[in-house]
Amino acid sequence: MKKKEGFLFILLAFVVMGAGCTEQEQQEELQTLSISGQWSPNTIDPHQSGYIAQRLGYAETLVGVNYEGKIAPNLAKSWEVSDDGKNWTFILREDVLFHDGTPFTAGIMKNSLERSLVRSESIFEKIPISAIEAPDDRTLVIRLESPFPALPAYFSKAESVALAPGSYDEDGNVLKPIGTGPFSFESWKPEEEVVVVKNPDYWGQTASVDKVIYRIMPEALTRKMLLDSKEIKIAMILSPEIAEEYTEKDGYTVLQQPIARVRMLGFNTEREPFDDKRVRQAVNYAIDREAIVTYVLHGYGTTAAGLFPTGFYWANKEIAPYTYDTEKAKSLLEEAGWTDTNGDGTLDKNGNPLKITLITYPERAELPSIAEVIQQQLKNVGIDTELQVLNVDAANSLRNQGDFDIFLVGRGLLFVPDPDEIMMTDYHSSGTSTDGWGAYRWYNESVDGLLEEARTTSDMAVRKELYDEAQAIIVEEAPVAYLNYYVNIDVTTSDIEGYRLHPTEYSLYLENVSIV
Amino acid sequence: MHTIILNRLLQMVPVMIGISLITFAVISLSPGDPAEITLRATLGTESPPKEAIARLHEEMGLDDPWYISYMKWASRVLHGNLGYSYQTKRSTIEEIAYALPTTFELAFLSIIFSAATAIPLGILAALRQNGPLDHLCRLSSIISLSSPEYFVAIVFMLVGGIYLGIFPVAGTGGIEYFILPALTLSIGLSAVTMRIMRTSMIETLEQDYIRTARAKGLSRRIVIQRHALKNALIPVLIYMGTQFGWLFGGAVIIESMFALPGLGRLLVESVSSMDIMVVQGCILTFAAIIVLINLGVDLAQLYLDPSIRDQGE
Repeated sequence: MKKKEGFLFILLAFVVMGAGCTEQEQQEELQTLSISGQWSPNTIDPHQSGYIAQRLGYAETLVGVNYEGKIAPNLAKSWEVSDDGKNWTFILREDVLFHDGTPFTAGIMKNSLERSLVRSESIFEKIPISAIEAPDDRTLVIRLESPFPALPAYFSKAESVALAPGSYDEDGNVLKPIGTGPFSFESWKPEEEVVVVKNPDYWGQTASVDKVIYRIMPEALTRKMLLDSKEIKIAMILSPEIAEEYTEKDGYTVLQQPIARVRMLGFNTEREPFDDKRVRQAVNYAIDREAIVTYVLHGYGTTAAGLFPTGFYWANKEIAPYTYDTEKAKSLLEEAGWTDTNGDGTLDKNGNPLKITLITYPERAELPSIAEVIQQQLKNVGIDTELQVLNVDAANSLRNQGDFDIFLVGRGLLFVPDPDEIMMTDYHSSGTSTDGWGAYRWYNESVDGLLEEARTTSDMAVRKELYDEAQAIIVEEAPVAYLNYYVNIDVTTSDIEGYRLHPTEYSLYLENVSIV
Repeated sequence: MHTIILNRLLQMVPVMIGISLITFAVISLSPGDPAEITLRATLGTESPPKEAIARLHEEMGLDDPWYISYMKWASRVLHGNLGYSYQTKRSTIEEIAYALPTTFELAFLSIIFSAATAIPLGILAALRQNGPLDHLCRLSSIISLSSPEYFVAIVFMLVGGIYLGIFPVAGTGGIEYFILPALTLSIGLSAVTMRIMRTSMIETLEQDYIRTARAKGLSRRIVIQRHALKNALIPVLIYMGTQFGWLFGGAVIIESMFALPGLGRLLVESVSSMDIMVVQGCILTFAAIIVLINLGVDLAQLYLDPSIRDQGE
């Protein structure tokens, strides 16, 4: 009996030691990258909400977005459109496997797209699709009821990712998303973390790290604390105040990237004084954009000339910014009939003082401070500004009722990486007369014509020219005043290499990241 | 005794109706269009299509008169249907059931931390009245009560998580992830509990039966342990009981700071995305927990203190 117990003990000891060794060896071999951001996926189903799947690289779309914010080949190698603009043919990559080994084919992509058109609710509602066909494994044809040149841009939206048939249960719900990306999905704990592991069979650049743990931390300060305690290596979207601490601290790298979001003023062009172009231009000249970036944004921002930051393909890089010129502003106001007749410092016209209201909201924390600076700068040219800081929905309600003079907003630009959506919503009369957050009740025949033409033109170079022209007219006519672009700030530990922020936050491209 | 319990239970009904009406009114009167806000959040676009907004309006009963909307909602709630989250597409009940254990664990651990620090310190302060320890306790209570939770959280993260490196800064995992948030949450409660413990102990020590016990020649330790402590603890335990519900409220800030996926964080996130049904569900759950705990405390008080029971009957 004793002999048997002794044997069992030795056997057990070997098992324990063996297990210990294996675990240790595994830890040495596996390189894990811990990162943290504020976004939490609402669902495991990328066809309902896919931005985390796309950013972490466990699912991919037909079309990608490059660092200029321009669409680029991805799962589709190339695409072309028929002369009538109604039939799009996508040629798919040949060397792509899903994470479960299933080959990627046009048939699977067709099923994925059809499912995403239903599950993603209204994201793809604007596309006039009549049929999706897969004539062979490598060809996907999208038939439209009317031309829609922004179609490939829509197919870069995360909700259109390709999922293997094995992703779904019997009822068609996603059990585990099986995509094609450089990482494969391992686990998700709602509001806590998403874990992905390296896909060694990826068709593109394979990842250097073996595993990525994306930790969901809604508070920027908490992400900073995690970075300080070395629990994470990349802290995403920090505030300028937090980032400043790291600029001179050893062991960290601060990264910043202008993103597709502009802070801007929208004028109520329906009523006095902003129904007069000269007054709108005067406000543009009266604002010191550099000072706002330096003093309010701690230098983390770039001054704006046109709608898009100049790093973007769609930006009209020729647009000259409005300079800070109070004399020019004053002379324009005088031309428009506004003079200080009673010497009280506020301009007036026909006995009415130039008193305006500026509405903004505190949900984007820096906007109220910017509004205060603008109030002061407008006072310098004789405009008396009353500030109303309301919550975003209340502010928007007042705006929609037309109960304002100037609206200060942080406007997202490329939810779809094509100017069509933002420009039609914010600057075409069909958009400005109803909603949109850009020009308010503004109508310009030339801009309408250019935007309509760009909608029906398939040639991207021609569309670029049309949008450039429209952007130039908008700046000249000044229904809005562009102030500055948002900058995303991420801080990494200095042993991280290859991490680069994307201007539309399309992907984190973690396959390029290595820990040195 | 049974009549009292029944009365207390019946009193809960109008309280819950009142709370449900207030919850409903607050959400209904909030500025902005809930359907549009929901779509903005779920679709990631600032200009959701008008047709989708109209469809959601109908689905959410937003075009009905308020009392009809309320009755529809209340009837659904009574049938155990708190609706669905527009963000996650899961049922509100599922969301709450997922979050509740975290908050419960956090609140429970905070109560333990509070009791473990406040009760012994309160007793010592009472026994050494106006001595240096008593003054120190008073000073620390004032500091604790005047420090905002947000600030305390940062201090604990810096000290416990970064400088000492003993505890994880934030997130979830084992029990160690609850230590810093629970300590943060317990600070305010400890301060008041300590003061109540001190006062109660001083009052008890002045009672005739304590004097009698001392006169009988019992040692100071035995008088305190066997005679004074039990009675002195009653108000402390009752206070802590009532505060248990309020700890759930305190969890709103703490859970966001420490990234704990509890009811508080669920409420914050659903408010920011105007996920109305989840907001309503969270508020109702908070209210129900507080009402139930107060009921439990009342009943415990009846049990512990016969004089109240006699008055009641």
